[in-house]
Amino acid sequence: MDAGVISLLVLLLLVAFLASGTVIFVAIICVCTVSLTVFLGFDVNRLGSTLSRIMIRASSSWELSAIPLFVWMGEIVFRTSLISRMFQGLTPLVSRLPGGLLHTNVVGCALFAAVSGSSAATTATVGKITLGELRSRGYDEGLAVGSLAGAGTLGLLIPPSIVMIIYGLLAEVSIVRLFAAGLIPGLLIAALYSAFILARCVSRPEKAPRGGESAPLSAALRNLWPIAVLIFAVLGSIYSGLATPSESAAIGVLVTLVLAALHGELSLRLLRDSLLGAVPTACMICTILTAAAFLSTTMGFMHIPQDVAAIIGGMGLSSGGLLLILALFYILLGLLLDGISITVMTLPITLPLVLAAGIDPIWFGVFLVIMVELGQMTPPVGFNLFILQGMSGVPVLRVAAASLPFFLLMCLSVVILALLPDIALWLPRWIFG
Amino acid sequence: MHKAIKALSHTANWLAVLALVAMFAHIVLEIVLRNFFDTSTFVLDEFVGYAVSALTFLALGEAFRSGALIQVTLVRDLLGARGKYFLDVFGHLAAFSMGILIAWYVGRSVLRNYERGTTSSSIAEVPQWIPELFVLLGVIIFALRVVESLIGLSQSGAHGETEV
Amino acid sequence: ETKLDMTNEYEPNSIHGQGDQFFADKVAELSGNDVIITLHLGGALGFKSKDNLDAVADGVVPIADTLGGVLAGSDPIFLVSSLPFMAANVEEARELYLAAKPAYAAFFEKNGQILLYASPWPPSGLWAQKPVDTPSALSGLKMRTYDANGTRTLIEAGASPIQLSWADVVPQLATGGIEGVLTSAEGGVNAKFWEHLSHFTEINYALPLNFVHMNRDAFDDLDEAGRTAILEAAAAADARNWEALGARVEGNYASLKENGVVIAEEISPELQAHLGAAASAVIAEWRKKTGEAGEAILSSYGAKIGRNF
Ligand code: NA
Ligand code: NA
Repeated sequence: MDAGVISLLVLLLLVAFLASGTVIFVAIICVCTVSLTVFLGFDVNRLGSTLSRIMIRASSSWELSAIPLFVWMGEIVFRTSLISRMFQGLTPLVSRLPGGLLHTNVVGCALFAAVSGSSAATTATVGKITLGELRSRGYDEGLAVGSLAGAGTLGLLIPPSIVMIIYGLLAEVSIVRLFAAGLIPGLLIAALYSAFILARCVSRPEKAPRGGESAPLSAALRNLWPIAVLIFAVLGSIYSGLATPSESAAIGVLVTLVLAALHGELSLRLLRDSLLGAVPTACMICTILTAAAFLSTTMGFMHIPQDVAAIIGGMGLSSGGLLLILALFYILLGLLLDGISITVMTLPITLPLVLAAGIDPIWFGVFLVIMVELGQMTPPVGFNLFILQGMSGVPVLRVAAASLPFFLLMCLSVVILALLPDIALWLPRWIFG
Repeated sequence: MHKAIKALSHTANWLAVLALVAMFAHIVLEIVLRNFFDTSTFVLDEFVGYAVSALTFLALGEAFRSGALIQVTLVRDLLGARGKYFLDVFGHLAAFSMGILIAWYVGRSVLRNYERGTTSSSIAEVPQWIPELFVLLGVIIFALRVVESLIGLSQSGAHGETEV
Repeated sequence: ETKLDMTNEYEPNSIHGQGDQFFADKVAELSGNDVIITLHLGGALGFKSKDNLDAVADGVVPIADTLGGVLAGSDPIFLVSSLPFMAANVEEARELYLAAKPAYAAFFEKNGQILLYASPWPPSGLWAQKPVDTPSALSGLKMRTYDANGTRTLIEAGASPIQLSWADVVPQLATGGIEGVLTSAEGGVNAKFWEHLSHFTEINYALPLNFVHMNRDAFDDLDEAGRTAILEAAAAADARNWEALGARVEGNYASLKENGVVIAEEISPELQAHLGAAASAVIAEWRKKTGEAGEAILSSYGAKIGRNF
């Protein structure tokens, strides 16, 4: 059987297992065990040994620590007056803007992306802080959840970014240049998202409540300083070299605890409740990521990404045609696989094609990261969808439908980026010459 | 039996909380040592890795029971009571068999690492059976919670609404 | 036709990635495409070096390329190639490997595997903003090390080693969180260290080894021709990897010069002596741990290169 047929069967199997209502991480593991047994003839010993080894390895990763820690930070913010003060501060600023507080999703994610290297952490943290508040104020659920699913992926594009570090090491391009190249495209996507929310709420005003509270600017600033301190402390710790991007989550927790103490809200009860709230969410995200690692191992054993990439290599395409095919290829892989797996599995084959076609490797890094971000929003395996179901209780497919416009806007940004590559390449050139 | 599982699962969940606090404290300590004392704990990524895996698996039993582990309910919502019952039993059996498969082979790895005396290659030389034991415990408790829920399911029968 | 998977956590362009590709191609050629090895580089299968021993023993992957240092957790004999200042150059590192090879092979045999070949890392040196060629230049230097022995030796030598994951190294260099890195010229080329650091000091700290090992049953399951192809390809890859190291280092040095990195090829005799003294505790501890097996390797190695241990 060829790679195309097998991957289609795996996809169908996954859809069936997920639709059965089996807990998601179990469903993914089941699909892998069935696939390895049926397609590759693994016996139970080899299967069990592979599964257990990957479970241990994938769960004990240092990079993963940002997720439980940022989830904990979100729980603390959520349980203190930090959250209500933030929204009190923001409301008068955005009340005259169509879409109102919905823009806090986009702006919040873009800001948070600057302190976190992963999209899962970005989505979970901002979601914890904004979703309940938006719902209680009568904002449209679809726009709230969809904009989060889209903007949460910016954690990978706006520096720092784990996927960019891995791409940089694999492709042997400068990581700091990559970071610089991701910034403007990230802001462009955020701007597209805000513009969409704006347009949507002008044509359908019932999607966002308008007016109401009006307070002087000074009151807004008074309410916003704690959250500003939090953001600048974490950003400052990274850019001053005090902490590495992977450590920034612990700084975030620390600063949040200090702010709670300053407001006289730090108590054993707060600690206990926030920890007990964070642990199951972290467990849910980490088990799914671990199961996804097993799925990527399974796809690797079946040689699917490598085989398909090699087929693309044999097509002899022009640079434009190559990019189009690669975009489709990565969107399809993104249905099933997470970003890091996609990058390490395909790059050995796709990078030489890209270089031979005369495409700038820094630009391609940005392109690849956006492709990976798209995969976070697509079912059946889309981490932002899973996380948002966990946060809001809105079912995965409804989240996916709500994020479709944001998915399409991100595709549009890729087109813009292909037509105007300087959007990515100008900043690194300007900084580093 | 039910009480024992509950106590076990709660204890494991508190250990998961401890793992979260430990990783936080370790990272803060590392930042302080590196920036103000020009030194290091030398084992940050290794120990934080152990903590993440302990947290992930030790919390699994409670996360399953409380419904924090998400599932796709689209098809289930369309079905009648019998259909729901059938899917729930299927989901439980799948979770149980995967739990047992992981537990058996992680258990084998724990035993082998204990007998062989395998350690990490860092300065701390941590015996590798210890972090793997947390994974093993977590998966066993998860399997117990699944069985418990499956029994509850069969007692309430095909007609009652069931909590997963 | 037999298809075998092979895992390696290092990048395709790394010396080990290229060596393994050479091995896989050679096996296909020698077996007339009867044995096909699919190489999964960059850890694409999800396994790290520390998983490989068990993964190969359990038949999860038939062949793996594994950093020697992580095997030391199962048998300290594997540290010999990464002990500080044991081998000053490629020739000595090769002799040290040959002296220890029977012990390595016996270890893999005991774990249901066979040792196919080992390939060396380029010599590690000190990356910093200045030449680190005297004891005072080293004193207090905040730098990232890659293993426990490096950490201990540099503490002894008065530097301030820090442990960081490789992915955090560049961000920390960019922001000045660390001042230096103990790694090869090659490591610096891969991560473009010249954007942050100006000097590479050749102290020839160590030339650690990677080991390529295969599941014994998977090997025995091949027919005679397949087994011969694997062994001959392994011998060819072994020879090629040691041969290629010199050219590799030259190529790396050329990239460094092109990017304005100053290479300090000489260090002061004082620093030489200082580092040697700092390393002695680590070496003594290793000898205590490995006992007779370690002594046997050292005496046969010492006889070959004319040094007394
Ligand atoms: Na980011
Ligand atoms: Na997806």
